[in-house]
Amino acid sequence: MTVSPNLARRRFLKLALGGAALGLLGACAPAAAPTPTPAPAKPAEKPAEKPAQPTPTPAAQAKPAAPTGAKVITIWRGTDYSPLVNQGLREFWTRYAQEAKVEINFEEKSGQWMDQLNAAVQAGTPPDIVAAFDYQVQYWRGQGQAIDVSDVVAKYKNAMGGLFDYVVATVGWQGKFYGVPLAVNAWPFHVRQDLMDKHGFKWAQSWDEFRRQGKELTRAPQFYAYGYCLGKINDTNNHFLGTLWTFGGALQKEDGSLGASANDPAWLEALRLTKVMYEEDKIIPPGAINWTDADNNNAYQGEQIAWTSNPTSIYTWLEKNKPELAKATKFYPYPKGPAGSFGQVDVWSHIIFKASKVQEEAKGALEYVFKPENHAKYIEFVQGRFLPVYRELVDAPFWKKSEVYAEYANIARNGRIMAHAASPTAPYAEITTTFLIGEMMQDLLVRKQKPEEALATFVKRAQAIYDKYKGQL
Amino acid sequence: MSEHGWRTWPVIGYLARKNRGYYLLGYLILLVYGLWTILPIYWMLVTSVKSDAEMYTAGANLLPVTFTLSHYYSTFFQSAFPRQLLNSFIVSTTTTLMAVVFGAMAGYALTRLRFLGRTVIARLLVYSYLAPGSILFIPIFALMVMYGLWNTLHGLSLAYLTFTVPFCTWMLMGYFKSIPLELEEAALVDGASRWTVLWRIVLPLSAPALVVVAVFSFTNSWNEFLLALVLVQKKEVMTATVGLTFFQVADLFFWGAMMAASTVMALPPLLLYIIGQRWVISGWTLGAVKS
Repeated sequence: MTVSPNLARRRFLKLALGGAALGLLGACAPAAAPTPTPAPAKPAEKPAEKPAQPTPTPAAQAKPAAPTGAKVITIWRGTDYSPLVNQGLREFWTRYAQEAKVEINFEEKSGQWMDQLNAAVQAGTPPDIVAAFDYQVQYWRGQGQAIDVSDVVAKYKNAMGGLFDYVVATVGWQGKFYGVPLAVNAWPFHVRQDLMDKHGFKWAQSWDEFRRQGKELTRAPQFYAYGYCLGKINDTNNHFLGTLWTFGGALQKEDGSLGASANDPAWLEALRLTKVMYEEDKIIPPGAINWTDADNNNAYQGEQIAWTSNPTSIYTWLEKNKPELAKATKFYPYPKGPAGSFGQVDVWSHIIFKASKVQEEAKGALEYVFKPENHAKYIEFVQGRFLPVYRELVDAPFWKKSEVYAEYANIARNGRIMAHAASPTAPYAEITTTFLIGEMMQDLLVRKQKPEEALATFVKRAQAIYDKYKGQL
Repeated sequence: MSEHGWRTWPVIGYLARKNRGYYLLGYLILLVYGLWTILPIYWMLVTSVKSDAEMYTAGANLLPVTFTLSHYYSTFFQSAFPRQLLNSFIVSTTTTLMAVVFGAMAGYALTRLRFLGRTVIARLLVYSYLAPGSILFIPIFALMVMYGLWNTLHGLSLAYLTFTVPFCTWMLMGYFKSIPLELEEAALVDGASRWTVLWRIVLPLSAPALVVVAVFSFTNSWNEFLLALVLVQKKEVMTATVGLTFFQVADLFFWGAMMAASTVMALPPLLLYIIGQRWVISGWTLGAVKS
């Protein structure tokens, strides 16, 4: 060896020790000035009109002023595609903190924060308040983690025409409430009105009309009419169940049992319609059987489809990136079937963990946002991102201001959650999160099974899940 | 095909001579493999300089129609990503240095010293390295909370040592075994202590292996996601792998910014591989990665 071993060793030691010291110093040093929210690059820009301000005080922009030693309420929420959602809550809770002399520690979480939450719950250190949507209130209740917040919800549940039934079903269980509702998230059909007008179409009043229009609009392989998600993903649950309701079916019965049976005519009709639109009419992109939750967004945003059902993340993106296409987009409910037409919604709420040491203060924070006068301000502040939880608030002038939202309010009035006609309980959650409906679609369209076969397999699997939870809800 | 046929078809004749067909097949496979490897990286680069509107047009452009650096601008000047990148660097560097030092000491002890439980410890090292992170993250999180180490970069570095130290130890054990024992015995006869033998003889001779384990430890720490996601929940101490998840909000993906951030994130390990390439290759050939 030509290199002196001494030299090599010294160099190595110097480098290693110097590097380790620097590294440790860096690691142990207090984190540099906190940077602003890691801009999911471009969270959707605020809509055109100036949002109604929940009269923030100067302190609302900074950390809430609270006396030293004040109780701290830690709140975890995910980032939303509309920055107004968390901005509005921060401002309300800052005002609450000043009034109640507490401190709010608001943590906005990134994409996969459920892993963080699960770890924190396991370690016995969950936040005081956490955002919960759809089945999550019932999940945390079933786990014995969510406290009873009936005293908060009961105070206002009959205000402003009362809470929508689906709101009560989402946060309530056997006459008690375990979550405080925040807002209703709608899933309108995003429709290319410019193309509809060009062809002289009005929004379909029946599935037959829908198919007829779809065939005329489709220009395969570049352009398809209907962005119907058919993979093993969340959006497939939404799209299929929205269709099923129009034939009179539902995933759950009112008593919370499975709403499907092997020869259920409504389920079979919905499956036949899906199969015929995909295989015969060919109005659905063939790749939809492999779509992710983002792909119907991408297809609509990329002008490759004319219709799809989704929360307004598509519309919000269009407003910023393709304003012309946003202007050409209108919202509608599902087309009518024999049982009617329904809007699709899910309910967003907050729960308080049993491990919280500031339960009363946390209740106060949730009540502050939930009471009707503040709720109305919040809904207006988020500029159409959410619908209100109180019936009468959908008659507010805001919903009449824009043509886009004309049908949006109807979706709230006529809305259903996926768990309809019961609460989103544990078996419902397992069916939707393990994508049994997507699996049924794969049986139907990839394995080319008959609707009867695909449904029979689904019912067998789903019933096994319901049986597993019998008596444990 | 007849002999006459070979002459008629010069290409086939060319291939038939001296097994050139095998060469061609080999190059073809390499080409496919090369494209398979390069295309995702190319796609990442191209997407990072495309406008949002272009990304969502029908069809896919291999070259950007409108070239923009706006995604890089928003990633570096309108987000916390630079801070997260620095956090990743601090954690990965600290972890790597500590893992190499501890791994070298443990590897040497397990290779050369005789003590009770040596074999069991060596085996347990492998088990601890192979244990799935998805099982370990909750107990590690509970420990970190108990000792007040969560939401700190040094806490994260300590957690990373749970998989980098066994990895380094195991790799270095293989290499240390290949160093002739006579060299160490000669030094011991001359009065050198075990420490002296390790620092003056074994480590200088193991430079290629040390570089290999350092490169691997750095890359593993740099790319680690699950522990980083769970153990550091404050934005100011998050690492870049977790920061990337902020470029997805519900079903909205900010592809341009995500690809710009990913491109930048890929550079440090790439640079390390380029610098350490000579040692990495010799480390492999000298048996650094033999089990």
